[in-house]
Amino acid sequence: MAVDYISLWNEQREAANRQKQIKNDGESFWENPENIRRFVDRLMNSDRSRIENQLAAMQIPAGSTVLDIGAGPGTLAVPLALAGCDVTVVEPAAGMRAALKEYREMAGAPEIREVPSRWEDADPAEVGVHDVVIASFSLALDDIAHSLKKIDAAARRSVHLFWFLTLPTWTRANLSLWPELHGSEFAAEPTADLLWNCLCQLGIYPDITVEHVEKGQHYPTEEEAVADYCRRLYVQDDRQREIVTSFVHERIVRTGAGFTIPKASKTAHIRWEKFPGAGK
Amino acid sequence: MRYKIDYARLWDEQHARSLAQKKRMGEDRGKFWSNQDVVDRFVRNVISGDRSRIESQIAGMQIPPGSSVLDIGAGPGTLAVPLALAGCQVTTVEPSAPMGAAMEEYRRLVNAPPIREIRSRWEDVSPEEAGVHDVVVASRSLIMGDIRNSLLKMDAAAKRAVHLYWFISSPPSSGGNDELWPALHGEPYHGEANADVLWNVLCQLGIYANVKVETRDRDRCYSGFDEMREDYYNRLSVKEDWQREIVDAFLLDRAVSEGSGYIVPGRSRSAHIWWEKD
Repeated sequence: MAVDYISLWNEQREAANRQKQIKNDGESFWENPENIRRFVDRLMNSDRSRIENQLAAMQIPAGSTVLDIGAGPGTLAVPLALAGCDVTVVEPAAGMRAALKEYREMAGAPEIREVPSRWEDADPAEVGVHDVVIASFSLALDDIAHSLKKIDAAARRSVHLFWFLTLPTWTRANLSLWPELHGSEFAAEPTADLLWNCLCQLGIYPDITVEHVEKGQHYPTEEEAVADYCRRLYVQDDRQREIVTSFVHERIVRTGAGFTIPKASKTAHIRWEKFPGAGK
Repeated sequence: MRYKIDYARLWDEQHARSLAQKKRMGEDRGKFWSNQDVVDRFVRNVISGDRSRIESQIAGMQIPPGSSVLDIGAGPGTLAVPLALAGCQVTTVEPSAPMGAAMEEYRRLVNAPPIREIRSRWEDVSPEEAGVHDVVVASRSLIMGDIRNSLLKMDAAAKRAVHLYWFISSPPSSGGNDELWPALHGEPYHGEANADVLWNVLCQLGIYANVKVETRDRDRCYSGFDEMREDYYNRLSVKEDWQREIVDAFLLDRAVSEGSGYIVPGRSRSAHIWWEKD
């Protein structure tokens, strides 16, 4: 009767991992300097409303200690440090940590402690316990029961997770193009509904706020968009490039500043307090 | 590959098991909700009980005055009467006539404006009869089969938003059912599916809803020990003396007096699940 969501998550993760290993030749997407450069550029120059919404929704008081898991180039970590939080990041990619340092110095934010590791491998003693733990669009975690219990154990007050509730645009591109490009079904990462079910299975019953995101990624030129999609879709030859080019061409829209591929997807802000009902 | 679980079927199957168990005991839900003692206790709780839950529900929904509201399974007007009093134009769907009478009594007592009543189960209400309202509410009233169509009908009846309240029960919050039922009836207790299943059903229907989980101490409150005992007998389908002894022993052990009445302490969890129409 009861569904074992934790096994479902882990199986889906393993399939996604296998697929990445095959297509990636060992190099991680998050270690590729070009990908990081695009990430940081976007962070500095694009619409910050989403980041501001995330920060506003978490309501983390100044002076809190915050652990940011999978912090990337400091998307949330740098603004939080700037707002007076004592921030520690867990980030395995050296390129991302370098980008974070660059961003932090540019913004004039205070020091941020770094744990250079995947969350699964991070030593709880090194990580420590923090008022608030956040993981924003970094929930592609293995051994999910263990990973989530470790997240819960690292938090004194509350936990905030942000993750895709419906598949993001490029993943939907994957779903429709992958079979044609690579001759197999695409293995997508598990989504936030499964994440919430895993948490319930662990006896944590978190709140969910659903955000509707209706904003495509911006590209200065159509060629840049094609190149980004080709990278994400592991395109290697001309036949594949042609398929992606016409896919992008059908969907791309000109905007004031360049081009965008419109997207509408839903994301979930999943949160819980450590002692529900306390003080009631 | 994406794993597809048919949550609507899970819900319906669990509802069917729960219903079958109740029928075997010679009670179906309609009977329970029309029992005058049950209605009286509900009304007493609504009028003079702890109002913090009702107030936090109403605050949580943020329904502007002047809105039209459809309250499904309204009971004795727990939310319908305060909403009418706050300036909403309220329609209720409630199959139990004694509950309807109790709501009318409550409404007059607090001088709330008239409330339109549909005396029916939600499953049996036609979309034309239900009409379209700014907001649809169903609070602790999701004992429904064919959950897919029941929910789609709610979504279709709402112009702006839908608010559902339902339990996420861990065993201690079922009021002793999970503990006592096997001893009394020699089989496990089959409750309704929980709010987590409900949320998944909604996702399955393409409705991505917000969730706010409320944890609180049990709020079922009794004016005296005998009333509490009778309610437990009633809820647990107790007919024999040996069964009464088991329930009495449980209550003597667990119940505590609070103020002028009794409660059985324990934590209960429920979820406010809501979505706005595009």
